[in-house]
Amino acid sequence: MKTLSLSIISASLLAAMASVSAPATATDMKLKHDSEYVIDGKIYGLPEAKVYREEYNGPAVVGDYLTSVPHLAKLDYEGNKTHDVRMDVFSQQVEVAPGVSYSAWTFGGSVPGPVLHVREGDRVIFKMKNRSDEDVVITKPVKNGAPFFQQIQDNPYQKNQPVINPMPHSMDFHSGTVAAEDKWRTISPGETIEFEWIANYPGTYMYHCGTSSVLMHTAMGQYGAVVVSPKDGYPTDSDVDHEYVLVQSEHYLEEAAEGNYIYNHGAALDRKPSHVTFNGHVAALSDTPLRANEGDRVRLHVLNAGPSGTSSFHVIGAIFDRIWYEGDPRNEWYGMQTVLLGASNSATMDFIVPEEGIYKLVDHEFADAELGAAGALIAGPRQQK
Amino acid sequence: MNRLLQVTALASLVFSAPLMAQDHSHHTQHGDHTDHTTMNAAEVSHSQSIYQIDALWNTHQQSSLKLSELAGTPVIISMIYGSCTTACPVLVHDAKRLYNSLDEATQKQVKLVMVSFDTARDTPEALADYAKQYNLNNNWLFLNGSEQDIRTLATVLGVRYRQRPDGDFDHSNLVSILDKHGVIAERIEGLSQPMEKPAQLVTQLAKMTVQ
Amino acid sequence: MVKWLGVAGVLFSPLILADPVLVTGGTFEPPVLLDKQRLSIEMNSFMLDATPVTNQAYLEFVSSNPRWQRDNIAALFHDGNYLKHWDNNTAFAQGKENEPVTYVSWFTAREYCAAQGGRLPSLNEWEYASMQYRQQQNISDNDYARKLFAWYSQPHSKQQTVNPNADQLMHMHDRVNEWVDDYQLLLSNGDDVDLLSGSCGDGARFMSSFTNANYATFFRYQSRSDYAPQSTTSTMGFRCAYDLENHDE
Repeated sequence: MKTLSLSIISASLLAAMASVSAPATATDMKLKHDSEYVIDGKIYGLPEAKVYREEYNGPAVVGDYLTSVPHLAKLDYEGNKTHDVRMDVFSQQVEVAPGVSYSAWTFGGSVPGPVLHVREGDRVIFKMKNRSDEDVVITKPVKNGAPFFQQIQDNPYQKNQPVINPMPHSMDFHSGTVAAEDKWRTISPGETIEFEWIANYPGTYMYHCGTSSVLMHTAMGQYGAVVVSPKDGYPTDSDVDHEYVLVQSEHYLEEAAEGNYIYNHGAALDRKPSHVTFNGHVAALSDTPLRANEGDRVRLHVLNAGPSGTSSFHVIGAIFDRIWYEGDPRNEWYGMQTVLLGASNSATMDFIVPEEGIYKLVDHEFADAELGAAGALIAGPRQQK
Repeated sequence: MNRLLQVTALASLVFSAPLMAQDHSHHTQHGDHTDHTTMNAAEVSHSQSIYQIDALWNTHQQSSLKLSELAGTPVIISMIYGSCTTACPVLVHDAKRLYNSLDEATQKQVKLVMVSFDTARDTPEALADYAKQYNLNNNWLFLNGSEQDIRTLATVLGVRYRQRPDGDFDHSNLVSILDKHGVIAERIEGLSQPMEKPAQLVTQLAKMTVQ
Repeated sequence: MVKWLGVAGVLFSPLILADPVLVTGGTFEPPVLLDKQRLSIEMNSFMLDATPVTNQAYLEFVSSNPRWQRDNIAALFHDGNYLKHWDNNTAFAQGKENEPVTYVSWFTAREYCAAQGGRLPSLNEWEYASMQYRQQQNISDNDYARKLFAWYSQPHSKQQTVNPNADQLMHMHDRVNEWVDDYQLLLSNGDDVDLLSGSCGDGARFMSSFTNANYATFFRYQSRSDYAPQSTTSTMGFRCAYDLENHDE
């Protein structure tokens, strides 16, 4: 107990000192609430979540560092920051393959949901309203919304349309270290939950709905990625030319009567997906391939959202130069052909684009690739740097 | 009328908010009993008066009562059943401990209300015996109501319960503090909890004037 | 017989809602074990509305009980959206007479049933009736599971009306999610089982056998238990149960 309170004092002293001199480092992490404490430079003990009702019809995704896959927002600030993030939960008709669309449960209206980018040590004040009993449109311009909307509107490959499907939902950020039964608790339609978490560890993390049946809620589309960049970066940061986010997932759909698709729980339990996708559509990364040039260093943040399958991620024609498993710079590997990701595992990996040409991205478990887990990076000619 | 109630309830919430954070505790301590299961309390509204429940209750003093008649004083309320020999006497004792930690002026104001889960066995007469057995003064009220009304009240208090085949009840162990408008100001979940802070709260609530 | 009435002397139009039907008592083996010690439960016979309560029937209720009209209801008993799909206190769009009433809270559903001389069915009663319904309708376990998950995936895909003259149990899985009196129980089944059930896929502990049908039933219990008693949504409705001793035929 004594050492604990001592470390709080020293941390806040350091915080006070650091606030004078820029640039900031992890030592300027500020304790905000009386309940908070520090162990090894990481903040724990966040206040209880609040659940309430609010009149809110504004943008469903709010925050400057929220993008749609495969984009990743640039961290245009030094040191740490507090992010006010809103990601409402609601239903949306989305297409996962040509002619195959279903009424998805979503965060922010897309499958996967928005990518959140923060830096190790940042604080996130998160708000989410359960708007599953409302029509929420994301394909029209909104004021004060996240960059996510513009990106969806530029490339609406899921043909997102509002649908109504009231359900209780919750949000579980793997990037947060909190008491799950408090922060990740389920809210009914019409309720809003608000809580904070600290990005204590660097890496690429899954978020998802944890409401029972968690298999159904995730298979219905409720997942996405949080990229927590390490406070001191990765060793190759200055050489990276392009950075993208890929989320792999399985879909368990069957055709219902009217040519429209619904969730097949039996198939989900049997782990027999109808589709496996990168970024939520079998053609997401072939209709709109990733772009780079010969000689570029490309960085991918790959998350396997599952819900139940593995991914053996491979780029045909390339070798991963550096791999940080789960995105932690201390988990560094070299020279890998394939990176195995269990459900909710991730890796941050760099590769050099060897020549102008087409580089296929695949789940080398070829049954998955055949079901859609394939995309492409198109490399143009070498540029003078 | 309803709107009025709502407005005053909200006003009192605003007032009491800095005193007490919203209670969302799920895993406070539970007593160790062998004969029935303890249920965690459900979440509740902290902005609405429970006096919006219109039901008529029978008291152990052979009178009838609407909860709204309690408006104007802070109330310590809990739900028990008479034939319960484990948790319920502790709940009554907990309410009594809270009451005993109040100063005399506050004690005069406060009402303690024990509502029975057991509509069939806990008749007003049985409840009168119960009150006598525990030597409780006139600030205490033991209430018997219909199954429907018991379930309604339990739900707004966040008390979960179910009757077992042997007639006993599984239930949450919860003592709630209501402000003068009947809004839940604080809930004490689990048995034999410390009463210093709740006592301070009741004292503050007693001093508040009714709008 | 006109509408089933526990209380004599109340007048009802015969076409508002079908007569309740008898659910014959017997042994019920719960698909979801709320109490691990009770693998089977002896159920008494009871009456249950053949269909979910309709807008028209609910209109009759609020017409004679103004306290439960949209503009009058006490705020404690709903989430602000009570009957929001109606035009006003006592009217809804034409053509919706025989659709199940939705945007009703657990509190208001109970008040309606009490006014009919009934009550909300208990969770066990409702599930027991659902088993009988599956037998009567010859719905296989796998079909039941698929259709239930399909309904949850897309609850508004079908037409919504019910037959006000139904003479047997109807629409138990394909119109609305239905309130039951003790719907909150599951998540609070004592400390011994409560610790994990709030979140990730740990249903197996609650099931007598891990079949798709039992899993579907578990899903219904579980997702409904996450609602607040004030919750009102476009998919939540109810039907009423009636004790047999009130039968005055």
